[in-house]
Amino acid sequence: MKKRQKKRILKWFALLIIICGVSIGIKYVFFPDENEKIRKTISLAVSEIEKKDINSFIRHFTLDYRDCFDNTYGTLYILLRNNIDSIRTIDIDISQIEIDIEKSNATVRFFATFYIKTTDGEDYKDAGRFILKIRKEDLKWRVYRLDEMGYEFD
Amino acid sequence: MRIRIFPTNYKIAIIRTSAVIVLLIIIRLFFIQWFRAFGMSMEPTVHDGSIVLVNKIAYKFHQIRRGDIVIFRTSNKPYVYFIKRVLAFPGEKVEFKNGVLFINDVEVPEPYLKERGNWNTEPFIVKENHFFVCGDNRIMPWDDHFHPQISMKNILGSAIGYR
Repeated sequence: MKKRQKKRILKWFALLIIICGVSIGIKYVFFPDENEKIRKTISLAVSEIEKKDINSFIRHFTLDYRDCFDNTYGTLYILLRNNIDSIRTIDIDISQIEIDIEKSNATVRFFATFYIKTTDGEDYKDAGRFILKIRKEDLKWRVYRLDEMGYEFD
Repeated sequence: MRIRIFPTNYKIAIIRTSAVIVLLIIIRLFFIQWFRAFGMSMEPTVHDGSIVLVNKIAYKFHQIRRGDIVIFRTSNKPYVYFIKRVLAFPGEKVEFKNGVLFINDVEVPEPYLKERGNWNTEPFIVKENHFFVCGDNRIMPWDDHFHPQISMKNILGSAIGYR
């Protein structure tokens, strides 16, 4: 094979790789799949509560929301509104996210660590495994159930 | 004499760096792993926020001993890792009377404790193929502690260092 021919093949190969890379990038940025959308929703909700923006945060929940702490949509909102001023900083780390999607419903399992500093100077921290049940409403994924998972050692 | 930190031969530098990275990955995967402790249950032995090194091959060479500090994880994902001390073996009867540990009705000394506390529990039997583990913070009430019975497959290794 001539040197010129080799160069041309290499050029086309490089172009192909660039096109593939750009297409994948466009797909992830502009047309994320449902899994990616759920991850983005979770990280958006976390950043909103960390910024203490409870009005934006509560929009990620459905009106029939229930959780393992006996909260409803209304009591959760009141709980947040009544306590947000006594909190100086909230830091939430979420890891090991696993998502199972079934049509317009999904189950999300994750591990979360919470660090809370109050205006009184007290520190609270806690961690746990949680299951979120979410469903698609108005093209957005919203939480309708939150449960804490137990620990098994079998 | 001049010491060269960065060798002029970049090929050798790349090979050396790659070898170190591969070695670290192998050590992390098979031999030693590190964690950051979270919580007060192992105070005063392991402090909240301490770095804990885990020997992952410890129990390939010897059996678990009473008093070993082990790192174990949940059976299912998402995994949660815990650090506790092994207090009792399968089939043993465990009881705390006024902070003193009794195994099969015999008092067990716990030299690693600074404060015994005053725990009082009903006697219970450790399940077959399971170990009873517990934190060192005996000032913390019994009910605030998480003291599960864990099987060998949950155990990642023994703690070899913490600070």
